[in-house]
Amino acid sequence: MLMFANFLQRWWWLLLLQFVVTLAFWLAGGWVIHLEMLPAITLSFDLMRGLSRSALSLPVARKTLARVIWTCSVVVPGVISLAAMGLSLLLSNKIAWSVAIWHGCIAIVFPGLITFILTGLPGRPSDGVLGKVRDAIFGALWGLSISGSSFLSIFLQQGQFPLSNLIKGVIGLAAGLTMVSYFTVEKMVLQRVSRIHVKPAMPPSTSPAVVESSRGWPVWWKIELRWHALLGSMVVFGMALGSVLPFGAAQGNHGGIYPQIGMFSFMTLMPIFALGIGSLRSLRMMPISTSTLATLFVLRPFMQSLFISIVLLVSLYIWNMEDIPPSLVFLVIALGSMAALAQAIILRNPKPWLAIACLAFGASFVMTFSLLLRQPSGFSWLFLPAAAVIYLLAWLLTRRWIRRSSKLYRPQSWFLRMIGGAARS
Amino acid sequence: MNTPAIQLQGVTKSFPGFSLGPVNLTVPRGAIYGLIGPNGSGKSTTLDLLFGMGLPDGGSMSVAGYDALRQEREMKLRATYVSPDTQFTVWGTVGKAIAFVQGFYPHWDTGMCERLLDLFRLGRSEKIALLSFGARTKLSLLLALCPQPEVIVLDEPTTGLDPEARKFLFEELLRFVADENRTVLISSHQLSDLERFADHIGILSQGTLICEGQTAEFVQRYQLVEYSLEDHFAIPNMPGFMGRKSHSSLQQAVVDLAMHPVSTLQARGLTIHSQTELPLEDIFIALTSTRKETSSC
Repeated sequence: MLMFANFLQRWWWLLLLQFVVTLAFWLAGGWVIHLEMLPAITLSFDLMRGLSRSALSLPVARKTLARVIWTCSVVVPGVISLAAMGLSLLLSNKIAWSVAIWHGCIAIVFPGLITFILTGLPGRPSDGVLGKVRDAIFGALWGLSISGSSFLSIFLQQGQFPLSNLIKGVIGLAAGLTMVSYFTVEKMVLQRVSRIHVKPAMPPSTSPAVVESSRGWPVWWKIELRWHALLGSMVVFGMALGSVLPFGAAQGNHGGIYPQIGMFSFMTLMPIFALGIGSLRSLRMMPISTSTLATLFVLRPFMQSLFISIVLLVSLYIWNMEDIPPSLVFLVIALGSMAALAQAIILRNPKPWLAIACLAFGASFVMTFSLLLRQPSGFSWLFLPAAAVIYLLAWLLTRRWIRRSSKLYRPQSWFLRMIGGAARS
Repeated sequence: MNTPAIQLQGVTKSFPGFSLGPVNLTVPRGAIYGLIGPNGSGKSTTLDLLFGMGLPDGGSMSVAGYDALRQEREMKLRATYVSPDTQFTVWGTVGKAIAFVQGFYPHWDTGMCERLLDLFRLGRSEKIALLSFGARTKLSLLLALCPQPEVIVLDEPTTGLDPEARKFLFEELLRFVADENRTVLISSHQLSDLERFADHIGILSQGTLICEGQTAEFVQRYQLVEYSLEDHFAIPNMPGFMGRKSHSSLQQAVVDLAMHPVSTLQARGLTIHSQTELPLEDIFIALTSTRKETSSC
């Protein structure tokens, strides 16, 4: 009970935010956003920050802790969304009951599904092919679940009834996994308790003598390109999914894919923040000037957005999506500039709440502007000069904070743990 | 070549609830300088500032003859830093991290790199994310030693190291400073190690460098004095007279003999029964606990 009270005490504002945003969307009567995953993600951050270790050193049983985490991740957000939906239905009746019921189902099973996926996401990089495949599956599920809820939401708003068996199946599967998550949360608690570093150093005789052929920056760019390729492939995956799923394609249009691509692009930019902050300290102590470092940081989201843009253009032809204008790439480039700016803000104040706030703001930005792109006007060209100005601003701020901030070089451990590191013990 | 290896003049930095400095610190070339202080005294902040991790509010800093603020690249080509907060995880494997760092230093010692890899039992293909904390520290040490810098700055380098690696570290540092132009600035809580290896000591407490000097002089200067007082004499609380304790008729205190030579104490009516040299740790505790009440140096 104390653990539960503690959760409410620390994260009441997030739950309030979820309630207010859900209520606002329902009262507006248009497309409905599902934010039930926020407490689960927040608790996952809590675990990364060592909640398991500190809680289990108290007189709290492992099972009890797991149940509290499950209740806070699954039950609480579901109840809050249902309360907001109920209140909106009392105040105004803009959303039909038949649609509302399905949204209610999503509100209940979506956080459960997210919690199940979080329990499967690795606490540290896996070794071996099987481990890597498993990580990849859960990673893909993670991306799918976030975008999937938006897909379902758009679909419900479009009034595509009766529901296809596939949709019913997806919701049924999510319900099943919600049940499973009740039992798998305990595994996640245990995983986060164990130290990240578990492997003893390899004896030199068994280490393959692989010496890198390149030195310095080329090594860096190789690693960067691998990241961009990985994240870019997630966007392709999202597009492929959008083109084959029955809703949208059945209508002969790909309208739902706009916010999806935007969301995917933005989500893929987020890990770059953690990467940047995690490597900054080691880069800072090397003979690299502040301006070069700032350029490096701003280049990351730029390159990522450029990479996604190229992938998008190619994909538009491959999947023959004539109804999607190539100007969509401008949105992606603009998103890169927003991510660069968000990164500069996080560099100033490396706090989890700020990262979540940037994510929430970025998501709403993406949704709004991707809808604007549907209008057949020259408006989309404005994204480019705006993006250039934002990139310049981001560079100046990044350079300033790299030079001035002391806090930046001692980031909270969750940033480091996100990339498999550890804080000073 | 007479310029100090590291010089901080009037360096200040303020955070909410903590102020550093003004710090005036001079590390001569060829020295192993131990910077010690209680947790939160500003050691890591001082070292971070040297490497551009934050901008001081005031003062100047130079390392290896280069202005740390204006000539940061030139400075970092000649000075390396080992810190427990540093992460190389982003490079993936040990080999990639080495290849990346190597590219920035023209005088990288490949032979030393191979020797250290072998000694630290680090494999090039090992994932950094899976290394133990101690193994990561070893990797940081390798990456700091192989560029053959003029100055190495180490922040708590012995944290997480096994005794063998710790012994090796200090042997390597001694070998490193055998060339008189090379200098080590080390911050550590392992005072017994510093006492053996460091030839200069500086004590930082609550953001202020309260004492600085050669280790041997330091140990000579602060001694445990056992004394007795004639009835009508009393010693008021005063700087340089620390950690007083009474054992029946005998009393003892850690005395700054530079401030209160034995002859002065005797003139004050003290009968000196014994003088004992103290380990650095005891001197440190006496100085930093007294610091809370009064200025001790």
